[in-house]
Amino acid sequence: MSEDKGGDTGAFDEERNGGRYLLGAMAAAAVILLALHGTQTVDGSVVSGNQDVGWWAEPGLSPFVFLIITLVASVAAFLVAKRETINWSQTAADYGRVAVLSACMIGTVFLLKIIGFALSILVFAGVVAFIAGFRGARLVGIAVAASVAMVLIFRVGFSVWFPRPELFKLIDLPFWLQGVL
Amino acid sequence: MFETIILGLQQLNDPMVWIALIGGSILGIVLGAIPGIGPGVGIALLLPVTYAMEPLAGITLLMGLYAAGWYGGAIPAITINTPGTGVNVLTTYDGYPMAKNGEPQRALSLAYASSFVGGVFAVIVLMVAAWPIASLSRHLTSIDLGMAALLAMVLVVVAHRGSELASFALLGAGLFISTIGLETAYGSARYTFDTTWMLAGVPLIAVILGLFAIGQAFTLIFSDRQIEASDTEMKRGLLGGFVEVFKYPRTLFRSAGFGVGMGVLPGVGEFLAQFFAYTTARATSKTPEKFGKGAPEGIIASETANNAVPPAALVPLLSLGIPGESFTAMMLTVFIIHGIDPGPTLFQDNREFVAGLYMTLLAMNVVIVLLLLAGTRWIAKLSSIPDRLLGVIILCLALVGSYSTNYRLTDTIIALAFGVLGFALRRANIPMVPIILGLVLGPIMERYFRQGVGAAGGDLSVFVSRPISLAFLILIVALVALAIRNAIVGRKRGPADVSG
Repeated sequence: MSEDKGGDTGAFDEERNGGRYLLGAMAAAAVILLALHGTQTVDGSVVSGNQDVGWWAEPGLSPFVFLIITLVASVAAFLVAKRETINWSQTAADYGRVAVLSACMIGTVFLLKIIGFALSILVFAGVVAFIAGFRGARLVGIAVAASVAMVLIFRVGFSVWFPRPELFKLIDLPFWLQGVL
Repeated sequence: MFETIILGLQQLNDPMVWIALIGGSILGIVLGAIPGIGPGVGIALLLPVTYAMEPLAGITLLMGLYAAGWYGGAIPAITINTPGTGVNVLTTYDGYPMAKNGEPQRALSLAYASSFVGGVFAVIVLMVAAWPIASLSRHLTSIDLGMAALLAMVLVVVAHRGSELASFALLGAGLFISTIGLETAYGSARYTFDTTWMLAGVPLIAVILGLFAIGQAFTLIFSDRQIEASDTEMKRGLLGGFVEVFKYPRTLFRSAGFGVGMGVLPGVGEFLAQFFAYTTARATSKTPEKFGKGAPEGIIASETANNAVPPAALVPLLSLGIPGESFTAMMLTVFIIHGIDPGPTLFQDNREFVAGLYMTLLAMNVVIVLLLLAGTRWIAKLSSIPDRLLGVIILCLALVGSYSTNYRLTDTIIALAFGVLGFALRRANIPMVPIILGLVLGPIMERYFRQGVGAAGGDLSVFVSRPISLAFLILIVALVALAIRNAIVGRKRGPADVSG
């Protein structure tokens, strides 16, 4: 019998799609960015002394036009969109889990510099598999298999370089093994 | 033409091209055969890898994924009535009933043969059409090319019928994001918030990984979907379809024509191609009552049309430098990274590359069919891999891909931000293609318009003084008006769902 926990169906529930709120958020973001337009598109802010090449090349022109398109279209789409009844607690739970996964990814980038590629991926894959509902032997199997596969694909196959982790400065490992791990 | 073929065959001497061709084809088939994944995730994940490869090998790898994904998607469509990718939906209509009637190998064989004919037909059209279009495009001005890019974007938006306004909003967002960073005319930082790492702009690879791979992984990890493996017994006999398809030559070549025609047009693609091909095949069939019950013409129409699209989608990319959808937009980044300028000059400056691409596309169709003939019985079992496991694997790959491109934490954070956006867009069924096209085509359009208006001394009549740009402008205005009208009509019928 499987020890795994079944995943929730929240992310696939079509009745609570949240599209209208997403468009509202886009419109709000466009307003904020338009308010910052004057300070974020200053002529010659990095390289001063450039000649005036004409209004068509003004740095603020394109972002302004594109933000106006975003604002007008998102407001219009928001207004014509169907009103939605959102299950806020379920939505918060779904996005909460996405936030946890995101935090794990950022944490793994820091971990890469400390314990190296293979061990970091082992920890990351294990945590993600746990969040996905895998338990017991399957969890361990997935973490180990993912870690081995990533090492074979990226370190052995494509020779992707990663900075030397702190751990390897403490342990005297053979050079080839450091290159793989 | 003969010279091009010889030149192209010489490019196939490179073993890396063959590794990319076979590797891309295998991955494409596998990803296509797993419902809910599709080649987009694979292309996003492999994009950073292709930057380190020779351009021909890199593009071949991505094209292998793209083309083989549609081939592979037919397997679960036929064996378990679940399309592997969205473009194989119509294959279920006749493929699954035929399989249920005890002829799964006939249905699969017809699908493979139709896909092969569609793919090869489209490559031949690409070989014949791309160069003349590129030659004509040499007469286009900067304003014409800028308008062509704008028209491509508007076509993509309008093609998302029912969610045009949301698509416009996302296009605007993509265009805006493309302006972030250092612009060179005035030496100004745009929306960098006084940070140095944003001067280089928002990294496209992080955006693509986020939207396509991380967003998909977030969705899959929380899914409890588990598809039962097919219990269909696969016997020998997958070659019969390669003879049978030619018993329906009109359906076969008309569908290939639909695929090519729709593939060349930005934003239209596989969905409309197979829809038109299928409905036309049924309308003109002597036995329309058999459609939906296992008609061979139904499988032929659907599979021929959708596999003719990928090579045809390269026509505007190679000849004008303008991608028409997200996959070719991703491929454009490989051209840019390697300093290859797609468009009019490509056929003069990089003849070996173009000739090599033609030959690899032809060879690809042969390789994919051989792989399918050899491995269908195992590939059919892939559809039973749990979504949650796929999510874990994709997230691991995306983590390494997003960080190892520049070894910057900020790239991973940007990828995650777009991953959350991709997750939200998927939940809302809002298309992601416009944001990618905006990001890729934004700088191209801005450059052309700056050049064109600058050459005219700021005179805006330059947009209407030439017949080509005027024609593009009229088309764009008409399409935008049509999109607004659709939104208003939809509003009168009742508030619209933002999803497409």
